[in-house]
Amino acid sequence: MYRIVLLDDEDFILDGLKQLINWEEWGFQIDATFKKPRLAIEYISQNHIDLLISDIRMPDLTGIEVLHELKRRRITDTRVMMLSGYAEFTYALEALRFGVKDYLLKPVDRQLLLDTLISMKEDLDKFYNVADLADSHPEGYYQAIVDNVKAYLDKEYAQATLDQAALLVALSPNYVSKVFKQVTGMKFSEYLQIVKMKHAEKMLLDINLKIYQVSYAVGYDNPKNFTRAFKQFFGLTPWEYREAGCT
Amino acid sequence: MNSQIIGIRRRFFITSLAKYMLMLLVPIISLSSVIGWVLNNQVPSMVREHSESLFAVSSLSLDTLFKELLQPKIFIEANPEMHISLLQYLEQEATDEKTKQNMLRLSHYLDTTRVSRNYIHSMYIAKEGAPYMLMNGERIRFLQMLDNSWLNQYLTLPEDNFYIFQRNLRAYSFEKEGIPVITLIYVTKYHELLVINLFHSYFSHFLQSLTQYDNEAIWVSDGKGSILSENWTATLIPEQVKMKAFAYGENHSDFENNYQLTMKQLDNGALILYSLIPKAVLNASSIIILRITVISVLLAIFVSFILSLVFTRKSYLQINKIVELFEQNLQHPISPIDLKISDTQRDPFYYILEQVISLYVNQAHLHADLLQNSYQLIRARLAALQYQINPHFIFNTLQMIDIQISKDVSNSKLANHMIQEFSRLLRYSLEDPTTLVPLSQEIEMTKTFIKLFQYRNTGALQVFWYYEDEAIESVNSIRMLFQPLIENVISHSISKLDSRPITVRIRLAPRNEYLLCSVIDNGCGVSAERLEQIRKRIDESNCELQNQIGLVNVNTRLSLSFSMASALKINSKPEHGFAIFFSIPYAQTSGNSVRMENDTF
Repeated sequence: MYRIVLLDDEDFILDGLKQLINWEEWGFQIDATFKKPRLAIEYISQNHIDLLISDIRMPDLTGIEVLHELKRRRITDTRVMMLSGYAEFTYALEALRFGVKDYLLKPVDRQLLLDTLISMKEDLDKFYNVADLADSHPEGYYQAIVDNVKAYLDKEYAQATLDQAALLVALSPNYVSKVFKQVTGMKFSEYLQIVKMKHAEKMLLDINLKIYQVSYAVGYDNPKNFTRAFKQFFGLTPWEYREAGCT
Repeated sequence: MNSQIIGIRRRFFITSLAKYMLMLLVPIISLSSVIGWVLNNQVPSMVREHSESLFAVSSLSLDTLFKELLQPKIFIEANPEMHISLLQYLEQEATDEKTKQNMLRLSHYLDTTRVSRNYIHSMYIAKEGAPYMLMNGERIRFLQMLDNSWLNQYLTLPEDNFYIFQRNLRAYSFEKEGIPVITLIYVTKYHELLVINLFHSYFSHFLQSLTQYDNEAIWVSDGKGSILSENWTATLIPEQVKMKAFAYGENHSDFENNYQLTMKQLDNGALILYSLIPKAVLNASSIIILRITVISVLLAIFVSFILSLVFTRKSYLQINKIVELFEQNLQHPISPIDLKISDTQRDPFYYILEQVISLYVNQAHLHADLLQNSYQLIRARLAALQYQINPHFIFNTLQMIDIQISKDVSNSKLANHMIQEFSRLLRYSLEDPTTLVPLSQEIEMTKTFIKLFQYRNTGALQVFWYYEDEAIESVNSIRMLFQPLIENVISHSISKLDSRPITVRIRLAPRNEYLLCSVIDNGCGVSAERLEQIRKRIDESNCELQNQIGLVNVNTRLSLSFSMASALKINSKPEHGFAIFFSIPYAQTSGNSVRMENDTF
């Protein structure tokens, strides 16, 4: 487990962050939470902390000043993730200058947070030479993920996104994509495309539906894109296909 | 208009009028005074000299005439043999052959002389006490001579060798009056009398022919002042004047001022030729010139007055206009476009003036603009202060809501997702409005907006996009471009509780350097009057009407960002929805520098 310190001037947010995801499931544990930046700095100096998740705007010290202080104290093995309510370019630039790789905006997107955490864990694993724990999952685990995703796609193909699918299975989109490719041999987007085209094919035979209605029904708000995708898939345009199907 | 300005105008008018008058009058008056001086002082003496020289020539011809009349006398005296023969011929009846021959020659000569000179009436040669006389070369008895009045006059005159007088010649007894003649009597060496009668009328004509001027009186008197001949004009002159003229010749006493008298003695003072010219006649031409000069000076004054008036009026109007412009501008700043004083391309002075004024007005206008702008800026800042709640507060609140929902709701995934989407849209809309974003990003955010709308109104709104991905690649757009347009459709159609779904079609197609965009819906639309109202508000950038604030806003931002006069073209028909058209330039032609932003932040 990698150790995390949360720093925010609001209790409510600190609590919320703790409960936002199941940290342990992703290989992290919340070591401590602080409202005062100076206390957090002291704590980090005395304990080995892998990750600091800090708000950028606090009344006492700003997140940037915390970074500065950590750097001054030569604490380099603690990675930092900044949280900001509002994107401000100057803050972002300064944070980048201090080597902050991740910058999350409030309200924190679980998906994005998970993605960031997963890639950070991979990074840390590499750094500490730890074997990938994910490989130890049983075969049925991956299949279950894929089945769930497939069920979702068959139902919600019109609006489906990788983000939504990942949300459904409580995993990061990157991870879902990787697992999906491993198990099915095709990309998430390719599978989604097939589902959409199958449905479109069926709908095209109903001559009461206009082409744009069909394209909208399968999730294309730009009928041109639908036409292109359809032609790529079947080798025929929707009109040609419809004519061929009717005769 | 205050009295000071009116005073300035009046003074300007008077001074410029005076200037023009002065400019025109000075040369005219100086020229005319030079002409007048010359006419008054130089010309009369010139005329006098001229007339005198002319008179000298005239008198010469009279002199010649008298010299010619001397010839018979010279002919006789130069030939002594002839002279002796003549004496014999007059004294004795019997003549020898030689005398006959000589007389034949003489009479031939006399006849030739008389006939060849048509002013000679007749010629006699007589001798005191001689029984015979020659009449035109023919010998007659002295007593037979009918015309003897010359003899009577001759006898009354004191002794001399030349006589001249006027008389009436009666050649025939039946003549009562006779012919007026001038008789010249030359006395030869041997006291013969050579009498030559000249036609008086010829003389009068001759004298008349000598006149150089109208009303010139010419007359000839003998050495004692009695008048022999005169032209017609001279007959009108009273005797005393002629006497006075004679006296003037004698002792150079004063003569009348109004006349110019010229005289010439002929034949050693035996004859005097007079010429009397009224000065008025002499100076007639100069008087005419003087008159013309005076008239032209008056005319020039009049014309110069008119011209000055015209020019001054023109300048006055210009000045008036300029003053008015300044005044107007002080009260209500005018637009520099209105500034066209007049068509003065030909007038460099006014061109310069106009430039100066337009510079001034432009500056004043700019100043006013600046004031207005800074005022607007302050207003905008105040508005921003009022409306823009600290974004950090908003996002922190959203974060809390997100967390709270996760706590309270068992399946909060959709709610969390919606909060995420909404936050994204909100953040996007709060970014610096002066920077452009790639059109693809704007489209993506618009889709987010549509999705959020669809969560609460399932099936009420369908939006179709028609574009090629390549067509929008290099296009930069303002933020929140489509959202207000879709909002417009929603506000006009969906609130009407119409069950049928509203379809919006958004087409993006490249044309030349622009991407043409159309947003067409099949909603309720608006009536023609309402449409006109909306268009007017958009033209005036009038945000008063809450419903149209989005359209006005988009129009203003589009035209500001892409330097277009009017960005949105709006059409609508009841039951046919709206059709909104606009165009976005491709990035290369955009005047604004585009800062590409990373959406991650």
